[in-house]
Amino acid sequence: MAGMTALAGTVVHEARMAQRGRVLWLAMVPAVLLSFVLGLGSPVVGGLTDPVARIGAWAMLLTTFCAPALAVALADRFSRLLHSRRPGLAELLESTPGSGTLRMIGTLAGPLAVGLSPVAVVLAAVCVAAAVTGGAAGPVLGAGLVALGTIVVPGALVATTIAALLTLLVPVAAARVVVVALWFWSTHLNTELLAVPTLARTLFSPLGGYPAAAWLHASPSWASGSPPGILSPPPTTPAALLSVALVLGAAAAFVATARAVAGLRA
Amino acid sequence: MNLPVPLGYLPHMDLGSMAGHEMRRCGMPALAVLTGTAVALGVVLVVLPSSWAGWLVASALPLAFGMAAAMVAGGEDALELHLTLPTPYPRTLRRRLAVLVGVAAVVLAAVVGVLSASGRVHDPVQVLVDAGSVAILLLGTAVYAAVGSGSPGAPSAVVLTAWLAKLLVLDGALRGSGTAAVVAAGAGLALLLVAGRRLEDSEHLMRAAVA
Repeated sequence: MAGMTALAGTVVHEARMAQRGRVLWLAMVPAVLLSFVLGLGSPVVGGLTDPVARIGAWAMLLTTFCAPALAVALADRFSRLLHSRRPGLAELLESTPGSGTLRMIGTLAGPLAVGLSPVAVVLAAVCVAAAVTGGAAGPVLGAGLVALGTIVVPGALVATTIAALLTLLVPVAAARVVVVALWFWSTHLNTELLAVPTLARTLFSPLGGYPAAAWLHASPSWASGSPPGILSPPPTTPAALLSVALVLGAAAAFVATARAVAGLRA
Repeated sequence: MNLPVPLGYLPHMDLGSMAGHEMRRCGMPALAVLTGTAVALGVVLVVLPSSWAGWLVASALPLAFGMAAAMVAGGEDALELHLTLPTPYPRTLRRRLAVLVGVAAVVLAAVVGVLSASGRVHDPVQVLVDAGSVAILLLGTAVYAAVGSGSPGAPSAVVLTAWLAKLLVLDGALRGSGTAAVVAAGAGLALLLVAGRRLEDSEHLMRAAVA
């Protein structure tokens, strides 16, 4: 119970700090605007007539551009926690009830929630537009929540956690470049574009193609390649659940690894 | 070292020790990112078809350069101290960025030279122009965003967004012409100009640093 209170306290504190600063807004507003412009001009997104499918396509588009921007902006969260040069801060943090693991989770989760808020606003606007232009309010609202919970949040989580882990292993500027390369390799560099091994169009892809295809009427080609393989089965509900679990599990594994690395360095 | 002489250095410092000093202050990781990206590109290009080589070099190297520029421009921890020194901070920043630009130019020329000699790039001048224009755009973006934020995180994210906007919006709208390169370089230079003026305002720098 004390641990949960400490975690909630850290998350809320870090979220307030991030909300007051201009770093996250400066990072996220251009990324959201770029996604918005690309979405409005894209026939793949704007040309869809099914309101639920349009919400799924918007969620994948926003995740594509906003998750790496968030990861790049928050990349130094763990390394700053470890290498803080402010005198006395490490001792002060040690005296609080939260453990090192909780602090790591809180220091990433708080700003992550703030950074995703402009994305959620755009997604909400898309839902309102979909409801106004002919979709029933109930399914449209449900689709918006599913899109946020199974596409946007897991994608952003996995991108930010791997970026934060990488900064403990390589210099921060290098981690930022590597995470951008990893992101687009694992989400969009499919074998039709280039015949190289990739996570895109597999259960492990953080783009959210499986939930989008299984629950949000997106084309199955967003999820699995053709022909389907062991890692890219047809997008059914169990496959989508497994994909979301794998992406969230990867994020948890990155945090656990970062904690282990931080423990070794301490 | 921070005396109000023309270059802001003690007269007996020669060019070599000055460059070494600026490289250390610039941050070795920022310089290593460029070299690391070039090496990674070399490995990747062994397996990729040669049609990708020019595009990848003209895109990936400027991104690494932009991220390094964001780190140099936004990563100064002791800004308050700099503002008390005889050497103005904008001059210090220009010197650090000059080191980074020099390293980037050498790395880019080396990569394009090797690829051109091995026949994987057929139009090296075009690749150099494309990469140079994106690099100027991202340098301007990095410095402009860093002056407004006071940390390297936000400028790095803005650099990424500007890079994507160049590839997906600008190149899409002005396909097949040299106009995209001119527009990108022009935008980068304009951002550098505006950022340069804001850098002169030490009060603005302090506000950004504590925000």
